[in-house]
Amino acid sequence: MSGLSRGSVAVVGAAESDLGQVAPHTSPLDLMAQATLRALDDCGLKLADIDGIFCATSQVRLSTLALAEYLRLKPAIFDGTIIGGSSFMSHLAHAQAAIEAGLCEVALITYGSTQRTVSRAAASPREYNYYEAPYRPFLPASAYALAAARHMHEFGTTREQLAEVAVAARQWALLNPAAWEKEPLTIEQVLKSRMVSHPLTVRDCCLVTDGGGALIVTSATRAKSLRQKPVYVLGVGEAIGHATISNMPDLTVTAATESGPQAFKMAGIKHTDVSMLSLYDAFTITPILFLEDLGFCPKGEGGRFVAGGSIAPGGTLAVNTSGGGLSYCHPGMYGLLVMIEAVRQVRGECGRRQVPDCEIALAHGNGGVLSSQCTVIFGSDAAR
Amino acid sequence: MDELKTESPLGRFLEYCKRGELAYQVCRDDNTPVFFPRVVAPATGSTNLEWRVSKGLGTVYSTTVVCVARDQPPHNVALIDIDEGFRMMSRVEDIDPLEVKIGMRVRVRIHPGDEKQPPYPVFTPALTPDLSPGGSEETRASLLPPGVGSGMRDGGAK
Repeated sequence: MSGLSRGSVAVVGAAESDLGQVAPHTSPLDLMAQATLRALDDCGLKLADIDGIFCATSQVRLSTLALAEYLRLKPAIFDGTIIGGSSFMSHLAHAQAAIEAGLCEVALITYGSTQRTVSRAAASPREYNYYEAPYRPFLPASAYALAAARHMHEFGTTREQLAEVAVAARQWALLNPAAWEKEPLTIEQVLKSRMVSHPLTVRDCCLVTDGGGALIVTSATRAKSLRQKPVYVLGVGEAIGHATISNMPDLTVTAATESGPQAFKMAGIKHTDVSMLSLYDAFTITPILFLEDLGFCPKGEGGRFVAGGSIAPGGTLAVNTSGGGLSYCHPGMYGLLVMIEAVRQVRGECGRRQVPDCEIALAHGNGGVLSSQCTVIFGSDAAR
Repeated sequence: MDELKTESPLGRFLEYCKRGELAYQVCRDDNTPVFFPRVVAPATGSTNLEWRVSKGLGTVYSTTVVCVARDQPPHNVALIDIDEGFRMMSRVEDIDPLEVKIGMRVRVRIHPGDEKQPPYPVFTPALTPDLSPGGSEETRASLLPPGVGSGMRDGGAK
C-alpha cells in the first residue's frame, strides 16, 4: 500500500482466543472479547485505550457494531472490511493508515468463529450464483482443487508434493502445544485419506475449528513504552482479483504477485532477509502458489520447492511453524492467526518451534477462492 | 437507462438456454467477449453490449471430481474455455467424471433443469466419429483446439 511509512506502527499485543472446540452457545463475539482482553493483557493497555476497531466474521454481518456494543467502546474509527481470510492483513494496513493519519492511536484487530460448533454451512452460508450453483462445486475446496489440477497439468506438480505441505504442517504442529492435531502424518496417509474434490483429499484441506484472535496495534513511538517488544510493520500489500473461481484469469497465478512486491518495496528488504513465512494454508496448493507468487521460487517450481521436507522443521525455509490451517487451527477466516504466529516468531517466544534469530517474518493472507491476497512483513527492533 | 425494469442479463441468458443456445455478450467498443452477462461491460464501462450465440465448442481448462455428497455418486465440475474467448464453470457429462481431462474438446448441451432450477449449459465430449476420414473437413476442423484467439477481459485464458 503506497503512501505508508515503513515501521511507523507496531503490533504490541497478540493473543489467541480459546481454540478448537468451544462450549455450546459461545458466540463469535465472546471469542473476540476474550482474545481482545488477552491481547490487552499482553501489552499492558486497557479496554478504554482502544480507539479504533477493525474486525470481521462471517457469522456477524455488522461485526464492528456488535463488537463496539459488546465492549461498550466508542471508537474514533472502525473498519469491517470483509474479503475472506486475508481481511485482517487488510485491517492492519488500514489501521496503519489510520494511525499515521492521526485518526486513532490504539487499534484493535480481532476475529472469532464458532464454525465447528455450529457447522460450516451455518457459519458461512453460500450466496446463490446461477453461473456456478447448478454444477454443485464443493466450495471453497473445489475451487482450490481446480487450481491444483491446473498447476499439476502445467508444471508437473504431483499429489505427493501437495502432501508434503500437509506433512510439514503436521510436523510443526507437533511442536505447538496449542495445535489441534497431535498425531504424526505421512505422505502415504495424505494420499490414501478420503477424497474430497480431486486431487485434494481431506488431509489436503484445512481443519474446521472454532477460534479467534486479536492484535493491538499502535504507533512506533507509543509502542516503546509498553510491556512487549514491539513488532514493527515494515511492509504491507493488498490486492483483490476475482470473486468467483470461474473468473480467475489464470488459476496458477494469484494476486499475491501484486501484494508481495508492494510489501517488499515498502519494507525495503530482500527475500533472503526473511527468516520465516506464515502462508495461509487453506489447502495444500496454497503455500505452493504463494511461495511462487511472493518470489521465493520461480513460477511452477513450488511443488519441487516443498519436496523433501524443505519447509518442515529442520528444512531450508521455515513455513507455517504453528502447524498452519492444516494442523493447528482453522476457524474459517484464519488470517489473524497467520499474523499472530509471525509476530510471536519475531518476538522469539515460540519455544520448541522457534526459528533462530528471527528478525523478519512474512505473513500472507488469502481470502475467498484465491481471491484476495494481502501480505505483511514484520520486523524486530533490530530489523527496523 | 431503465432496461432492468424490463429485462435482466440473466433473464435474457435463460431465454437463450430455453431455446437450446449458449449465449454470451461482446462489448462493441473493443470487440471483447463478456461472460457472465452484464448490463455494463467490465473495464470499458460500455453499455454497448451485443448478444451472440456461441457455436458451443470449447476446451476443458481445469477439472475436478466432487466426492462429498453421501447420497449421490461423485460428479464432475469443470472450467471450460469456450472457443469464442470466454470461460465458464460447467460439467462434462456422458463420461466417467475422472476421465474428464484438461485439454479435452467438449460441446455444449442445455440441461432442461426442473421446477426449482432454470435450464443451464452442460458439456459432452466433442470427439465423435466425425473425426474419421469420412467426416467433413469443416467438422474435423471444429473439433481441433482453437489457435491463439483474442483474449478476453474477465475469466478467460490470456
